[in-house]
Amino acid sequence: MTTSSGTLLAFLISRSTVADRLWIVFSAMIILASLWFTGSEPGEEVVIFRNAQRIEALPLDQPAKRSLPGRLGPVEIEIRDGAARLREFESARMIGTRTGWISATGEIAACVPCGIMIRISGGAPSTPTYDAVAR
Amino acid sequence: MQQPSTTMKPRLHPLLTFLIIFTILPGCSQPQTPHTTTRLVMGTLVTITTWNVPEAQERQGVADAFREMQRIDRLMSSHHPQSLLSTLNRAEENSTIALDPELALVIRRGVEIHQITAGAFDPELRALIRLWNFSGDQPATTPPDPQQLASVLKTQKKRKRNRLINQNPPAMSVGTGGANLDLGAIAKGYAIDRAITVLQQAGITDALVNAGGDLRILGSKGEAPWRIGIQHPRRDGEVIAVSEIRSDLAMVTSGDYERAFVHNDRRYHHILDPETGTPSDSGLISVSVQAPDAMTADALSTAFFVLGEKRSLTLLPDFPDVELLLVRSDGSLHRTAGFIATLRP
Amino acid sequence: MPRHTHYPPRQERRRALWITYLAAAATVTHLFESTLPGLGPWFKPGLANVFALIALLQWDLGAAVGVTLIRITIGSLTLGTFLTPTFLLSLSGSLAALSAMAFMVRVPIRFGVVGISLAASLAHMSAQVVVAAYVIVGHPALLSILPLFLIGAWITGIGNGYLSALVLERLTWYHSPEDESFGSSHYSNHTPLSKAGTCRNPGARQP
Repeated sequence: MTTSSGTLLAFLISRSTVADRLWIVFSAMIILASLWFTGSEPGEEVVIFRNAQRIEALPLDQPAKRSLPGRLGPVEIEIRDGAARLREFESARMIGTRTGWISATGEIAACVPCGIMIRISGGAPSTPTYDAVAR
Repeated sequence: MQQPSTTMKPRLHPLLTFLIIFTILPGCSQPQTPHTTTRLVMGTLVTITTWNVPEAQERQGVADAFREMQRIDRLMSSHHPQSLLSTLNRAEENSTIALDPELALVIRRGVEIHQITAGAFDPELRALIRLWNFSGDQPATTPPDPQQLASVLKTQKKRKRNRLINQNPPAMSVGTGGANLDLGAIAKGYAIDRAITVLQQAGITDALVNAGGDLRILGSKGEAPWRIGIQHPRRDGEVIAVSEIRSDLAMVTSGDYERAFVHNDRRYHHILDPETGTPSDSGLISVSVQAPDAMTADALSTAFFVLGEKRSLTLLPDFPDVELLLVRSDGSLHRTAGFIATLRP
Repeated sequence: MPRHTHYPPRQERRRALWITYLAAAATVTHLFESTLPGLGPWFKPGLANVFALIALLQWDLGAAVGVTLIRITIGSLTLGTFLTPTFLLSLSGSLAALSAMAFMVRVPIRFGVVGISLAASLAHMSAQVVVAAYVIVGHPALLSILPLFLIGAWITGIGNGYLSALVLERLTWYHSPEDESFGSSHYSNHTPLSKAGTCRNPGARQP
C-alpha cells in the first residue's frame, strides 16, 4: 500500500512543475474560499410576482425598495440586510405584512388579495421539514 | 529533471487511478430533490411539487395544470362576475337553464353531500356568504346587521331549492330568488382533482398539488413518502400531526383560524352554519379529511366542521374511504382508525 | 486564429494530419461522454479537452482551436444539438478553455501540462456556468453553484492534465530523429515545457 501510494506520489510530482503545484494549491484555496462565501448565503434574490406573472428579480444583498400598485392599493417590497419583506397597507388579513422578513430560499410572502407575491430564490435549496402543510 | 526510464514503472498505477476516478465520477449523481412551482391561482397560493420528472416534461405538465385550475376558476368562481357560475346566479327564478357538464358534475356532488350531511354543507348559500363577506377583496371586519341576517336567513330557508333535472344534456331548474350558488367549499377541491388529472396525463406519477393548504398527492418521493404537516389550529408555524403519504390521496383541512375577525372581543370565523347563519359553533376548531378525491374532502371538511364530532362520526359510514382528524375546542384530538398521521405531542 | 509557428511543408502536412487524428479522437470521446449520466448537463469529465491540450503542446494554439471546433461541430451535429443551448454551452466553455491554455503557455512562468489543464478546466466550467446563468436561464442565482462545480472542474482538470502528460509521453515514439531538432526548437519557442520534463522530451531519448 505504501509503495503503491509512494509511486503514485512520485508520478504526480514528476509530471508537474513547481508552478503547477503552487497553482493547484492556490486555485483550491480560491475555490474553497468562494464556496465558503456563497455557501453561507441562504438565498440569492427576491423574485416578485404580480397576478401570477414574474415581473422582477432583485438581488438580496443590495438594499432596495419597490412600491407596486396592488389591486387594493400600494404594496411595498423592502430588501435590507439579506432579507426581504412585503408590506401591504390595504388588506384585511395583512398576511403578507405579518409574514415579516424572509431570507431563506423558497420562502414566500404574499398579499393574495393584492395579487402580489415575493419569493426568495437562488442559493442552495433548503430542505423543508414538510412537503406541504394542510390548513 | 525526470528521466523517462525512472517514470516508466509506475505508469500502470496512475492509469488505473484515472480509470477508477472517471468511472466513479459520473456515477455520483446529485440527490433528487422535489421541484416546486408556486402561483397565485383561484385567489390563493397554489404550489405544485413534482418529484423526479424530466425538466421539460415537468415544466409543461405543471404549466398545463395551473392553466387547468385557472380554467376551473373562470367556470366556478363566485367572485368573478364574468365566471359561468355568476352567469347562472343571474338567471331568473323558476327558469330552466342548461348547465356546463363540469359545473353540473360539481353541483351534483354538492347537492349529494348536502343531502347526506342534512344540510351542513350547502352549495346554495351565496346570499349568506356575501352578507358575511369573509373572502372578498375587502373582507368584513364587523358581523352583519342582525335584522339583515335574519331576513337573509329566512329567505334562505323558505326558498325553493334548485333542482337538477336532466342528465344529458345537464340542466337545472332555478330555485326561488335565483340559483344562489356558491361553490367556494367544493370547487377548489375539484380544481385540485383536475390539476392532478392533467399532471397524470403529462405522464407525471409523483406530485403534490397544494392549494392554500388543501392538497392532493400522487405517488411518493421515490423511496420516501410525502411528508405533510397538519397546521396547529392555535399556534402559527406549528403542526399537530404529520402524515407520511405514499399513495394517491387527498387531504383537506377546515379550521376556524383560516379567516376570521374580532369584533367587540368576539371572534367570528368563516365557516358558516347554514342552520343559524352564523359562524359554526360545534365544538370543533379544525377538521382534516382524507379522501380519494379533493372535491369530496373539500366539501366534507366544511360539513363535518359544522356537524360537530358526534354527528360527523355517525355519518362517516356513508362515506367509504373517508378518514377524519378532529380537533376539539379544548385542543384534544379524535382520529379515525384509517387516518394516516403521526400525532405530535 | 493564431498560427504562431511556420512549419516546413512536410511538417505542415503532418500537422494537418495530426489535427484530423486528434479531432477524430476528441469527437469520439465527446460523443462517449455525452452518453454518461454525469452530474447534470454541465458536469462531465471533459476528457475531450485532453486532445486539444495535446494539440496545443504537440503543435500550437491553432491546432488546438482546430481540434476543438471540429469536435464541437461534428459532435453537436451528430447529437442533434447543433446551435442549441447545449452547443452554446460547449462552445463557450471550450473557447474559454482555449483562451486559458493560450494564456498559461504565454506567461513567463513554467507551467506544465497539469497546470495548463487545470486552468483550462476551471475556465471551461466558469464560462459554461456564466453563459448558462445569463444567456440561457437569465437567472444570476445560478452563479451560486459555480464554486461547487469548480471543485469538480478542479479534480477533472488535474486528472486530465496527468492523463495528457501520459499520452504525450507515449507520443514521443512518433518523432523520428530528423524531426527532433524541429521539435525541441518548437517548444523552446514559447514554453519551457520540455525543460520541465512534464511532457514530450525528445532530448531524453538520445543517449
